[in-house]
Amino acid sequence: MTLAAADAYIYVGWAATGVAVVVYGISLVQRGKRAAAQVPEGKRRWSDPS
Amino acid sequence: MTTTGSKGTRILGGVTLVLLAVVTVYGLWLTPADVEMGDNVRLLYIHPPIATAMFIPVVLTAVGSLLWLVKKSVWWDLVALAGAEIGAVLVGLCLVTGSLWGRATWGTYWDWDPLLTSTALLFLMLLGYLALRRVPAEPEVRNRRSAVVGLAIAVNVPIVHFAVDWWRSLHQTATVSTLDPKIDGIQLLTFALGFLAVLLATAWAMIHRFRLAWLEDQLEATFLETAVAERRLEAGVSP
Repeated sequence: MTLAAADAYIYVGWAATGVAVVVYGISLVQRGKRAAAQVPEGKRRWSDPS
Repeated sequence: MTTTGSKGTRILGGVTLVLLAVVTVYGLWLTPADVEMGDNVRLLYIHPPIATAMFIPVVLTAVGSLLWLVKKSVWWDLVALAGAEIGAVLVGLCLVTGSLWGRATWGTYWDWDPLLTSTALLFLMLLGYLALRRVPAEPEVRNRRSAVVGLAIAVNVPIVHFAVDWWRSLHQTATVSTLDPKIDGIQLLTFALGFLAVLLATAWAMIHRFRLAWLEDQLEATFLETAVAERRLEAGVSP
């Protein structure tokens, strides 16, 4: 295996991780914003209901 | 409050992003190539931290499932849900980075060895858990089904964790979890920073996913209350 081929696996691994972290992080924040906008004001506080 | 963020999560997120950037610069450019593994060692600054951190949300899924069964607390059911989704993301990333590392060092993306197979099974179980939660059912029924599957997932955790010790495997045994780590200097520092960055990212994601699950649960409850009130009105029953 050439060094360049080995490098490709390294960069693909890092890129896949970086993209996954950023995309999933942004999606979490956006889903949170959408959900918060639909929930009535008094029910938005998370706490243990038990 | 119109988001799942708070002052604490914004600070945590900021610190995590800075740390991830530092690890990237160190991991890809500032650390030297390894004597034995060459540049392939750079994948190890992300793969083992992910492979370790993935157990946290998975264990939280099992704990949340158990405590839902014991206490019937929605809070713990939502912890289990958050853990399963974050766990699926991390286990998926572990499989992707691991297979790339395997291709670069062993010459193959995949081998049906105990560690890889049990990790793939863990990934499928988490996807199954998340799919099961989307099956239409009464909240109580859905939570009970999910809790049982959440506990079943826990059985696989020690198998994945100890597979390299219990069976012969292509995969190497622990590199730094011993008192005499096999790497040192800037490589060890980068490795440690990688662990910290992934742990903080996992914590940030768990908090946000839990809060999102809480809001979704409130939405579902509001929807059910409205639907019941409408049916009662249709039937001429006073609320």
